[in-house]
Amino acid sequence: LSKEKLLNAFVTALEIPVEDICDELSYAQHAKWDSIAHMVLIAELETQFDIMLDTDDIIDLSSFAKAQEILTKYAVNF
Amino acid sequence: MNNSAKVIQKSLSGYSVTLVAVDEANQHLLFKWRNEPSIRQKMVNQSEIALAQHQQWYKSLKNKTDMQHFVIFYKNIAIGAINIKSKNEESLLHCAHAQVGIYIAHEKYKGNILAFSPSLLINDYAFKQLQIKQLSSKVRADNYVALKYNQQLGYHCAAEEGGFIEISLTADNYDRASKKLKLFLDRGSKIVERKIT
Repeated sequence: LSKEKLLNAFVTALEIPVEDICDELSYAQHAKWDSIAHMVLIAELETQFDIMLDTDDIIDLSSFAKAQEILTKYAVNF
Repeated sequence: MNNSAKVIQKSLSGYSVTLVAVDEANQHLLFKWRNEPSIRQKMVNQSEIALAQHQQWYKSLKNKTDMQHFVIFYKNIAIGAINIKSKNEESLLHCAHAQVGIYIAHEKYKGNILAFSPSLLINDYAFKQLQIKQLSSKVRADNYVALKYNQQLGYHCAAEEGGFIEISLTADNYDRASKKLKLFLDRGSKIVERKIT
């Protein structure tokens, strides 16, 4: 369920098809993942998982794989 | 203009970064970074700087009041440089119009949202402490990343002229545009869990 929520957050925030999402999907290397999309993504993740990310994690959340790693710190299990 | 509250700061901290004025210990970084092709190519003056030129520039900085150059630190790692210069060579304490220049040299943070932190910090300093009325810069017209970056900070773009675009920012436009960025970059580092599911 958490993986599905994470995928939905990326699809909604970056406005990309789910097929585009892989562990290597990374910030600033995908045309749709710019700083504005990044802020939308953070807001979406915080809503979906009912958490508040700290600034260092917002900065470090630079790929789909990294997003999973960071969310586990906030007691999200994949 | 009342200058009594204005102070030139040697370091600034906020939004997860620290800006440290260029000094003997860190000036070599600017020489190294400034000559990297990826950074040089984005500059108005794209020529390579010789060490002697750099040393002369660094020496001249000590007597200058119209500009400040800082090294950007994130988690004690130097990641880039930022500067503020008055237009017309007036002291930063007396000028109404200045320009800001920035580059991120650390590969990991190029194109990262962290790149906004030093700009937020220096813009706050410019508008709130130095009471500067307007910031403006010249950006290469083909540097779309820089143009988009600056627009997100509230800069307005003028028409292209000779391959460059003049961009300008007032305190009001900056305050409006930067609210959301500040919310994300000014949270600190304590994990707050609202609910565990």
